[in-house]
Amino acid sequence: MKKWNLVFDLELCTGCQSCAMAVKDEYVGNEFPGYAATMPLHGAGWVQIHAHERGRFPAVDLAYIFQCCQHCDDAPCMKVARNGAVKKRSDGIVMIDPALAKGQKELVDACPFHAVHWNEELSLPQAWNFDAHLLDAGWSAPRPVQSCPTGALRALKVEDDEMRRIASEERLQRLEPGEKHRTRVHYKNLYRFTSVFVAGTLVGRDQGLEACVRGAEVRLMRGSTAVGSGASDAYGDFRFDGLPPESGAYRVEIAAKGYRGKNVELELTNSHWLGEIRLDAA
Amino acid sequence: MQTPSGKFEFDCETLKRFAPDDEERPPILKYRRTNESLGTERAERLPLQMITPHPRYSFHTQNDAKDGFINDIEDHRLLIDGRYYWVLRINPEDAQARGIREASLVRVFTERGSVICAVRLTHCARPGVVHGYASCAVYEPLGEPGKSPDLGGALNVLTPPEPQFVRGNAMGNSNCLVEVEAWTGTAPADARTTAAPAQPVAH
Ligand code: SF4
Ligand code: SF4
Repeated sequence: MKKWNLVFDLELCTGCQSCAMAVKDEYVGNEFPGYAATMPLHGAGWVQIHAHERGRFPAVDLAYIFQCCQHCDDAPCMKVARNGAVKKRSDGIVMIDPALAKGQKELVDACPFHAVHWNEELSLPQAWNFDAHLLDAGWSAPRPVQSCPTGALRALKVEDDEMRRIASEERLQRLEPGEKHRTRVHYKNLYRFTSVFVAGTLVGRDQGLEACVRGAEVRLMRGSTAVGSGASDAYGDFRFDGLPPESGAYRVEIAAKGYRGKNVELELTNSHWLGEIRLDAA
Repeated sequence: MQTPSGKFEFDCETLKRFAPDDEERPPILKYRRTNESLGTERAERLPLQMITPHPRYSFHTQNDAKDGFINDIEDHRLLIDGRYYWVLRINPEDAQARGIREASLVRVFTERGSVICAVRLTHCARPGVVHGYASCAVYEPLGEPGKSPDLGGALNVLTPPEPQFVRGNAMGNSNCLVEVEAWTGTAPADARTTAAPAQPVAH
């Protein structure tokens, strides 16, 4: 049985908000009986894009994260729902029934992904149902995917085995606690949301003038193990990304031709710029 | 190429004929300090550089502040006490030095006027630079028009009206010296929105 999945790539998202706006456009002032009631004009959207900034000037990384109902195969919202108000469809989509769910505010707190929104006016819990009314009418992708200009969002209707293969091949991850609830929204390059980086800039001298040190060999060490290595770029910049936050002591070892080697010790809490590191001539 | 020589001209023939002695735009291009430069005496009172590029989420004034859902984009406007304020971005260092907190209200001003904005702290603005989009759709002075702070977010009120040079047409408003301070005043109810005053902004 083929089922729906969504893949979001943090490297491709520019934060344009088209996906979030498309969902508001679809549901604000429109109802789809059996699928969804209207969405409030203002306030939190059922699909959201939030900026996530790491580091500090001048070593800054800005990424965006896509948030919506994760269409859990093991859905906590379903467990607290009464009268069968939440359904898991055979195509993987989780639907909150707009008639049966009336008054069931418990659904809001039951969702670990903060994806259920309380519609005060209708007294109704609501989440993004993958635009099921459009898919049932023959659309090949829901509106956020259709409106994404960069291809950061993909909708895949595939067998679960095939999705597992794609997930491992593209190293897709789930939002916490997605493994436990077997979510159907997958994230590519999630390290830009979950991890931290260490960066620095190497400065030396060239013909009596201050100069960027390019092509230096830089290694990131934890004790005696190298956890990363690379070369400084034309600006003397280097960066090690994908490190766990609050992960303790590291050492950066720098070896550059024509300069004396240098080690910098650091205690990693959050994304960190080591500043300008001055190298002495050999 | 439509130059007299048919080539790229570093020494511009037509400018030599039109205005050979124009200090503001000499026939051979050279850097000249603007009146909005940090090197001027005004920078002592107005120490921040403000840049106002085109808005990202509205098309100039179109779709902004019409009580539509674009208002709810947190990088476009921020809902504070029932009013959607235009966003100004500032580096956390500059904010801290001025006692300004994330998502609070600030008054950004020059001698030309002042605008009330919601502030967002970001390292994407380098220290000394603040960033807010040009051409919001509202000018809503708190008191006498032209003489009181604007609640709408019209940053164009602050930018210089002078062109880049007198003998030609080129807007000179891409950067401007400003100062920013925390704003603790109160604003009247917002007639433009149906959003509930107590509604929290999602993060
Ligand atoms: S993400 Fe939340 S609303 Fe969606 S299926 Fe899972 S628990 Fe239910
Ligand atoms: S439409 Fe695509 S690029 Fe734009 S915010 Fe959404 S996911 Fe990102």
